[in-house]
Amino acid sequence: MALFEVKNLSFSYPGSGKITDCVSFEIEQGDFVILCGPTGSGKTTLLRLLKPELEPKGELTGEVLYKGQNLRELDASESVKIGFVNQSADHQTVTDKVWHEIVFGMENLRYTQSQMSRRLAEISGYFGISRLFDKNISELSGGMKQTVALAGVLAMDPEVIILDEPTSQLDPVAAGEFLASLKKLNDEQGITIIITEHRLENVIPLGNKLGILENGRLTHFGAVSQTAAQIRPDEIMFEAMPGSVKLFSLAPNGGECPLNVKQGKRFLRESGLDKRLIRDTAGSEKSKNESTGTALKIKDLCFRYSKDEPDALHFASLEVKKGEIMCVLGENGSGKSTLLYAVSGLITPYSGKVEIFGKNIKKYSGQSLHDNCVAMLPQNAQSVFVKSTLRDELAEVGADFDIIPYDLGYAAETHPYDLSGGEMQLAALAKVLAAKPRLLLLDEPTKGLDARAKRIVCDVLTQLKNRGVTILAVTHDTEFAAMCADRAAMFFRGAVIAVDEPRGFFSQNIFYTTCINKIVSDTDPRLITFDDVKNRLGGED
Amino acid sequence: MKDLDSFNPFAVFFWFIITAVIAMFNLNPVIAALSFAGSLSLLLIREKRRRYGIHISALLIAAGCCLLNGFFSHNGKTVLLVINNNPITAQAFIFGLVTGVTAASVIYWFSTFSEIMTSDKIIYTLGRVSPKAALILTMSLRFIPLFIGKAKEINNSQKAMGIYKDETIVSRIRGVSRVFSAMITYATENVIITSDSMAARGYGSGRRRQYSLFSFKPRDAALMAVTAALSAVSFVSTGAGYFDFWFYPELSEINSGAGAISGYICFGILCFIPAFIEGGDRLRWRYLKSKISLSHIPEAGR
Repeated sequence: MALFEVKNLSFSYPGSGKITDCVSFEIEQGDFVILCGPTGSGKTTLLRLLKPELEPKGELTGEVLYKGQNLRELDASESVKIGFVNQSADHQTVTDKVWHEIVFGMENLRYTQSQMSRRLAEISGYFGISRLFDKNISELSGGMKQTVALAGVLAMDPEVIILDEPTSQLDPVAAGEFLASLKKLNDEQGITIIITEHRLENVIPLGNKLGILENGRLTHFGAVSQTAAQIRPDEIMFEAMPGSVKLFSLAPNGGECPLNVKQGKRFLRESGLDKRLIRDTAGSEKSKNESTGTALKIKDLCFRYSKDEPDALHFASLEVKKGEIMCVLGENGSGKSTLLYAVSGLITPYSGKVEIFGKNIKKYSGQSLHDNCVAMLPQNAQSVFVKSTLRDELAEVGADFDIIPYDLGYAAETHPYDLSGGEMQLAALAKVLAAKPRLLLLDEPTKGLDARAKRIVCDVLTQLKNRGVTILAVTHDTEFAAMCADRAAMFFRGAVIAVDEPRGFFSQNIFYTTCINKIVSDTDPRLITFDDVKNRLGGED
Repeated sequence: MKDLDSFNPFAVFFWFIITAVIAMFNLNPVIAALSFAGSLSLLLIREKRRRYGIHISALLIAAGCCLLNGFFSHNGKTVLLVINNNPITAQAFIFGLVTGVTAASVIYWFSTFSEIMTSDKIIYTLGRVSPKAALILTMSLRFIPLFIGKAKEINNSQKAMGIYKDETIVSRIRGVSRVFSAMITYATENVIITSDSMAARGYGSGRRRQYSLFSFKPRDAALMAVTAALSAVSFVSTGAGYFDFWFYPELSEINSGAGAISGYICFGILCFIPAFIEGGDRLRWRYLKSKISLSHIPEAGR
């Protein structure tokens, strides 16, 4: 008997179209199921329909069986066997301490003291978080917060854990670690995992079933490699697939679809694709950007947040030319964001110099730094909004919808918080552009965005560049940098340690590069995006 | 290891409240002196490095009470000098001094208490009375840093966007109200996620059973019993008027009857219990440490 049987499930909110449209699938015990789909395809709604307490209110037809029993008939002690973790680490924690968060669910189910103590010990041991036991959750990193949330669910001995984009707010390293712990739970404890994700590269090699949702319909569902191989390049989700899957589409040889870099490399050799990619690349293209003048010059900047901490910026130097997109890449906590704060005047470095359009930042008095000059889009786009509709939001600052090269008019009456990740990013961008900045600072512009939204943001930024806006973005998204940067810089321990145009930058990196580049680097390290590979092959015909 | 920290919070709380109440409601030089000596010795035993700040504030309070009362209260017989036709009396100074010493001792007691009673322990103690209130408290303790951090983030975002002017007072006030309204939206939007997360983990399925990190050991019972017995004697002394003391118009004699003496002794022991516990613990550790270093446990060699 299957763990979950979903039969012809349709759901719609009052007064809206179908969010979930006649979906049927089965999940066996011990499966690791990945559900993906573009933003707004109904992933979250579908997940919530699998958890009785979270079932959204609306019109429902069809049924969901859990171990043969209708989901709605489960009592509390049975339904906690279905654990749920969502993307917001900050808001799904209930209590202030780590230990309390882990026992919270057990308290609700009236476990005895000794049961709770034992489980608490087990869980702390399993995740290696005994040291954090007494810590305030607010002091933990995003990744640790998510781990604590997972531990809190795990304490109730779930048979299945449903996760709604659990890593979308995490940096790549933390995301990788979190997903690895899920894989471990799946392998070692036999816990069924159902997860939605948009960063598919890391998660696809872990799963055994893949489902793809589009407009509420389940277009594909089945074993991961077969399903991945079925996705055609013209489908929306193709863009989000890992590099190896995209490469497979170029020469499907009927074999197994490669899911990770290792398999991708083998596929490249076996399919003969590598031979077709070799090309004489002497005299490769020069950087097209022959712009004149410097927009931003940072020299030997030093800053620390408090006396006892190490420098967040340690002799950081960087030059950004007028009209270019500069991406600063680096790990979390390397001080990338601090660099932006220094340029936007939020912090004052204790030594060094910032020159913006040839003028020392200290010479800009009051508002003049921001008038027609520098504006920053913060990491969390939500914090930009203060009004109840997008129209009011833009009207308040005297901006119009056509301020960005993308049409958001359809969302004018929406509450900014209800926009999808990509829309929110663009709406925030529209608001920030109201000050008509010549230098635009972006802090993690692709955080939490799916592949399509990323592509749109990228296009919008390129068009802004063509209008003469200089853009400095900090990010850990290598794909994004490869797609739209004119130059990329590597940030490490508070300073820029390398600057190059993206092709040169990524071709020399081994770890910090795009997935495609990792696979094809043996053949030609100068291929960094899927489009590069396609163009190279296209050129041979 | 600080031993008082390892006692059950309820027992510590009980001892603390009783002692503080007796100290605060008896304005008596002996009680004040005992309370001051007990609280100061406990603080000194526990502190890892000198904390000058607290001693300075205790001193300021004691001196402040003494001087203020001395100069503004004109009761008392022994006139030291006359300023603007107002007599300054020795009794008023002494009354101020006793009040000040009591206040200083209460500062010391509370300082140690707040160090021992971490939020976990307060929630545990509160949970004995009202589990719901304890849950609300722990949720608030989570929410406050989150909220403050968010307010800073929104404020910075608004500033760095560069759209809003903040050069005049009016525009600054506008800025603050803008951040505030954004915070309200933020809080109401995200509280839904929290309540979902609670429901998903079985909240609302019935009465909760509170987990406690703290067990109630025989020594906790002993601490509570001793506290109860000693404080009973002290309360009887208070009730019988043995601790009564007058400052005006002349200082009364300190009662030296058998009842009063036993009351003082009991209160004195009460004040020094924690210092005994901590001090005894220090000695035990010193002794154990010498043994640990001699033993051949591989762990100890690291």
